[in-house]
Amino acid sequence: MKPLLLLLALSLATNSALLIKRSRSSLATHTTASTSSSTATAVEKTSASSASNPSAGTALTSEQKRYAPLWEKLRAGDSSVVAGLRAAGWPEDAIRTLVITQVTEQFRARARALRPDLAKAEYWKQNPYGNLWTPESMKAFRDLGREQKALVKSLLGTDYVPPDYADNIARRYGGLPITPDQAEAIQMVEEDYRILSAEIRGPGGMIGNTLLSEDREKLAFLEKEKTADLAKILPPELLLDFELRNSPVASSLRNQLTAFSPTEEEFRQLFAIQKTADEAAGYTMGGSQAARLKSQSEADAQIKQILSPERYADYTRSKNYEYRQLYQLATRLQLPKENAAAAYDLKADYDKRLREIPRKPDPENKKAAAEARAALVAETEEQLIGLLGQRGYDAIKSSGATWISRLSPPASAKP
Amino acid sequence: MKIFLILLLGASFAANVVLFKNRDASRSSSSLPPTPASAHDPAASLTVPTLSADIWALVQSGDPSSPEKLRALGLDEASVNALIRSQVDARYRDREKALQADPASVPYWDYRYAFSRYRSPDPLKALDLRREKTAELKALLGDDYRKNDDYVDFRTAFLPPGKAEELRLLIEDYDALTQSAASIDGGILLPEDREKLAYLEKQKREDLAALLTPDELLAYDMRNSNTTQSLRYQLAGLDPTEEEFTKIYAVRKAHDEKYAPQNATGTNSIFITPPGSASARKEFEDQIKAALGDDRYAAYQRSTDPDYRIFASLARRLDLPPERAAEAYDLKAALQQKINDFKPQPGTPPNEQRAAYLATITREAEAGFTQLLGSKGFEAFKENSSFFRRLTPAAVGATSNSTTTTQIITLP
Repeated sequence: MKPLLLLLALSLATNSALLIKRSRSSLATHTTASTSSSTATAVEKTSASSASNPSAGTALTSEQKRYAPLWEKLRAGDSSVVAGLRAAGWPEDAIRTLVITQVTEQFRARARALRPDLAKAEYWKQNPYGNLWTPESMKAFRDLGREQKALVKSLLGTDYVPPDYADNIARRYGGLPITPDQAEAIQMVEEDYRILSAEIRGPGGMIGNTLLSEDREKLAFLEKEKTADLAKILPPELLLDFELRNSPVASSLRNQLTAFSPTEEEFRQLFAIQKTADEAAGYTMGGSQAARLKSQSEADAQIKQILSPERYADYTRSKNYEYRQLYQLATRLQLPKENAAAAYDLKADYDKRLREIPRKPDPENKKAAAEARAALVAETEEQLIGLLGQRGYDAIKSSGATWISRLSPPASAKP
Repeated sequence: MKIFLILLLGASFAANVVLFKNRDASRSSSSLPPTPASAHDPAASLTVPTLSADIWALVQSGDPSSPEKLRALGLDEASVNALIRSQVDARYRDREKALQADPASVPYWDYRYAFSRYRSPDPLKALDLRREKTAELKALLGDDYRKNDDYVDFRTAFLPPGKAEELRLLIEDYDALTQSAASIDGGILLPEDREKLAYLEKQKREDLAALLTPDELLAYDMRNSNTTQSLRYQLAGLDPTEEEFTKIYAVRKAHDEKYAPQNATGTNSIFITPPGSASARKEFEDQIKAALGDDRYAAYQRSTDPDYRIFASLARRLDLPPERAAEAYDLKAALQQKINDFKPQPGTPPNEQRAAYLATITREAEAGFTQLLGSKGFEAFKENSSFFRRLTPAAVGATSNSTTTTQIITLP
């Protein structure tokens, strides 16, 4: 009897175990099936709206249908999918691409809803494309981007950086040793302040908007705060290097010193003085014109103290647009830079001698005045050609220096 | 009892068999296929496609069969597109990098620092490489391989996508050719540079005319030409309708083609004031007047004055009635007329008379503009316009000017 009873007990226990397992399996199948049916609709919708490749417009393959719920899970931020792909031996760069693609798809509709339709821009109005962005839409777009980035990081790890990121940082920040975390923090500060500035400047930014003095004060305050925020991200020495490469002060100084050709040491000295002057005048956007002129005059006085007389003369000349044009021309034609300076200095002599010729001569002196003017023009032209060559003279006439182009009409001008 | 137990045991064994078989059936009817990954935790309940090393090697090498292989794995179209593109990118990365500017090549104290970082030293080779890569992507993914890119070029956005892409490529070609022909310094062009650029501009116009219908070409020009860019700025104070803009554009374009000199790039230089002789400008104004009618022509004339643009902007910024801008403009015109009417009388030196006369007009201007625009608006106008600088002769000096300013600020 006993063996029979034991066998029966064993068989009944097996039945119970199989029944429990079956009911669990059935529950799981039901859950998957219901998830599948709800996601299948979404996937088919996505598929219907996409029309790219050779299979565009065709129905999903059976395998695409089978795995649609899996990609849906990934889009929803289920990190077990990433773990599953890793466990299945997927290469890491393929996993990254899949994650970024699915997350982008998840956010695409919201991003498209925020992005202005350029085809609807009122092209006949000032700044037609910039006007399509409002501070509110900029803010919403920024927030969406940050949400998307956070989802990618939750799936791939907080230390995830896209391929080429190091190269992009190097290019953007002039090769400075800025880490991906610092670059991301800098980008966030820049985004934030761009939006805050847009709120003050109004629709379309600076173009077509006249600023009130209170607007300038607010913009100056923002610039100060932005610098303070950057100082929290970068240590002092790196911050200075960053500003020397990326700040508006450095950018404007580089442009102004085109024909000065500073050494690195000169540039750093001039940058320090100019930065202090700009801050005193209310930064780049703040302050009045009078304040900026006063502050610039003080900065120039300091610069005079640190440069030799010759270099200070170079510095003063280099601030003149026409001299910069002559300097660039001399560089292009591989002429000595002294020729550019001599051509520039001709202007003072030309102006002085022109003033000596009566502008409204008596009728009897009219002919003599005209001849004197023609002789002066001819002499000046001859001197300029001597300094710049005929090609250089023709180039400068058409390119910039107003007083030279007025000597006689440029060759390309129509009657 | 024993027979009963044997029967019960037999039934239980039979149930064992049935349940065991059902267990297998249940597994085989599951919606997800078994894969090696399903054996592992934490993703044990998850089945993922298996990407074999062979298939991945095909994708990496750009094999034509690779998109289909990825689809067969169960990847959706967006993922197939992205995986193929990522591997094409990877294959081209080194060649692209070799054609990019070296960020360390231009020091930060050099004026070329800002633009040299992003400009290829050899734009034509960079363009060739881009085209080669595009051809490969198209071969793998079809012509609309960029369908998931949401970037839209504003210059071509008015066209349907296919035509817009053709136009974008044409513009990209000529941008590279122009960059290659022009001086990197961006400043001085030699006569031979101008010849090259003029030739390129002519060719570009021919290609545009071949690609676009006459209506599309007009639409392109009305969005992207130098004339349009100038008119957008000039007409900001007019706030034209599209129809008005179209009329003004047609008149101005014809005028520029006839009278504006050619600039460096072979297009007509555009000036805020229409170029040409006094009679040519009169003819231009008559045509605008005929196109717009008297009232809107008056508004057009106002809008060409930079100070009116400031008044219009301040009226918007300060939530003033829009007509305040026109009233401020009329005040400025009246004051300007008074300045022009000044005639010194015998006696006091003319310079002193003029200084006193301008000081009176300055006070009148400050009071008038403050009344129309408020003190904030007046200060902003003064800061942004040259009108008050013209009212301050050297003889009057800063003291007189600052005194009147202080008086105005205290006005209610």
